Amino acid sequence: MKPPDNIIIELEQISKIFRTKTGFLKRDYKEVVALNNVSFKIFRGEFFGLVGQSGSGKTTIGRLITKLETPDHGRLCLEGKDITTIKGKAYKEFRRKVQMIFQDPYQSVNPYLSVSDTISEPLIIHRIGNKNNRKDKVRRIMTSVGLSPPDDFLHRYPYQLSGGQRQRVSIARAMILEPAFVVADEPTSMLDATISIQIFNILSQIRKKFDVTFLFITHSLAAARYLCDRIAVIYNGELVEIGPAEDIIQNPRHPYTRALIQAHPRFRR
Amino acid sequence: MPLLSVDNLSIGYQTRKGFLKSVEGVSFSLEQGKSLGFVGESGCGKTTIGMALMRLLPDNASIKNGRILFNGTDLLKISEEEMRRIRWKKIAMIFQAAMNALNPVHRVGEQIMEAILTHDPAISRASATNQVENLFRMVGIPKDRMRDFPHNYSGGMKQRAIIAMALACNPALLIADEPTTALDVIVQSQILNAIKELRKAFEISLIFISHDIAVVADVCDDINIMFAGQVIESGKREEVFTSPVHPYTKELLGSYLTLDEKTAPDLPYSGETVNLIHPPSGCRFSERCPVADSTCRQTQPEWVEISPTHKVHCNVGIDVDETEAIK
Repeated sequence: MKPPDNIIIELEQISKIFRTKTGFLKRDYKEVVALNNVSFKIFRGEFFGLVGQSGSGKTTIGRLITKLETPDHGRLCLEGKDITTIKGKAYKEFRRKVQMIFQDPYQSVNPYLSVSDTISEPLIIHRIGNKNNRKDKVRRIMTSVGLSPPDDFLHRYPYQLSGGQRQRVSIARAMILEPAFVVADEPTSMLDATISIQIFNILSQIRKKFDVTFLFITHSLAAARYLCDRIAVIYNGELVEIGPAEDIIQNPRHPYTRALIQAHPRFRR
Repeated sequence: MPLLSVDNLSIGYQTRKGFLKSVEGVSFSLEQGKSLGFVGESGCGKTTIGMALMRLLPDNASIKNGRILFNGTDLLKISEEEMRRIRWKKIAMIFQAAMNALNPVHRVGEQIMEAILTHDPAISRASATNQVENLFRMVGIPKDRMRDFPHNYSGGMKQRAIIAMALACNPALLIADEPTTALDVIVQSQILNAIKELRKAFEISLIFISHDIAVVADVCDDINIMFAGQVIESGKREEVFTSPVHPYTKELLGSYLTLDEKTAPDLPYSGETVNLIHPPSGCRFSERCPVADSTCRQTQPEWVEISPTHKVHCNVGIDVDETEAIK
């Protein structure tokens, strides 16, 4: 059965088990169930939030969707096509369509590449455009992530950038291929509150401008509520609640969601 | 007499590009049993203040000016040997990311015992063990986990062990530098509750450093907001959080995402970070400030008293008739 066109990503009963060695012998290992039978759909154009505490499996979901990990059970579909085991040409095509923004801009940006090299590298790998129109494209994308004027930043290296500017570079690098789907894994957990808000606003502007679907992974319900249309709450590798963002915050059904809301720090009482 | 009083403290770092003025003219005092929070973005100098109180600044740092009076003794005048006797016994610190600094090849209980035995060589091993057991109970780690190694602990448990270690010698003053930053919200709220309870039980005075205003609001009686090396607003928790005066404080509070109200946060005014090697002659926030005028950009603002406990380092946005400059 073909799913309707407006579903971009679908997880069907996905499970992932990690084995950790506990001794010298091959038989000495422990199994950790990172994800247990997780299913959900993400619709085209939506900002989808995935919330949970550390170790809940939220990053594993992001890594499965970007195919940095393979599930042990279940099926993963992009635009109705099964991508669980794709290889070769189809895999390269997938790489162009799905991008990731990582958590720590101090580690995910190559210190030896200038801003312009970092952002144009995906174009070179996928053989898109020529030297001149790549430059134009890089400039345009830099303006849309707020690295403007681009000429001030093009030739800088990561050590000459602040944390917020580095994260803008990694957003630009993810967006340069005009992907259909982007996973943003805690993109602001290393940044100050005032900078986080700026990054969030860039993400929502980009969504409108490029018509892209976002999976936003976070441990903060407040951030998820600010950005997302729908939120899924994950606990111990299982999906415990999913629904429109406002509903989840106003009427949480699952005790774990309530605990998350309760634990959220407040300064106005 | 306050337990700790810091007077006009200025600290800088010698860097290749020049002398970086990391902390300038910071004064505050802390009464016995009270808690004081420092809030500001990365690079504003809050950790530098904490390290100066412990006299653990790196070699390229120098204290240009100021006094740190602890129980009446100026910590900047005493010898290293005398400081060694105060450090950890009187003033202890939970360092940033300290939970990753637990020694991986020693049992957690042993590491805490080592702190006790080092600072109190007269104590017997048996009573030190006893003390470690008590500490574990206080911070909420089961006794049978004492013989575990750090890698058997979760992040929250490691942080609890670090708190136990800081409390090992029963200090009068505890400095906590971003103690919950690497933890998720649920563990964070557990750790904050543990800190609050311990503070009450032992009447420890606390200096709490964080970039997260809500976390500081949860723990501290008094708040100092820092920007680019200076304290720019200070007051009681309620004063600073319910009626902030400085435009930067307003920006910080306005950009904080809450679950309580639907209103979108205000977008902060972006700008380059302030150059602390050649700081601007006027107010350091004036570049980013929405209400700054030409005076702000040229001359340093005065401290303005809003109430006996609430003051702000800013010239504008304040009705001059109601308040008077205190300096």
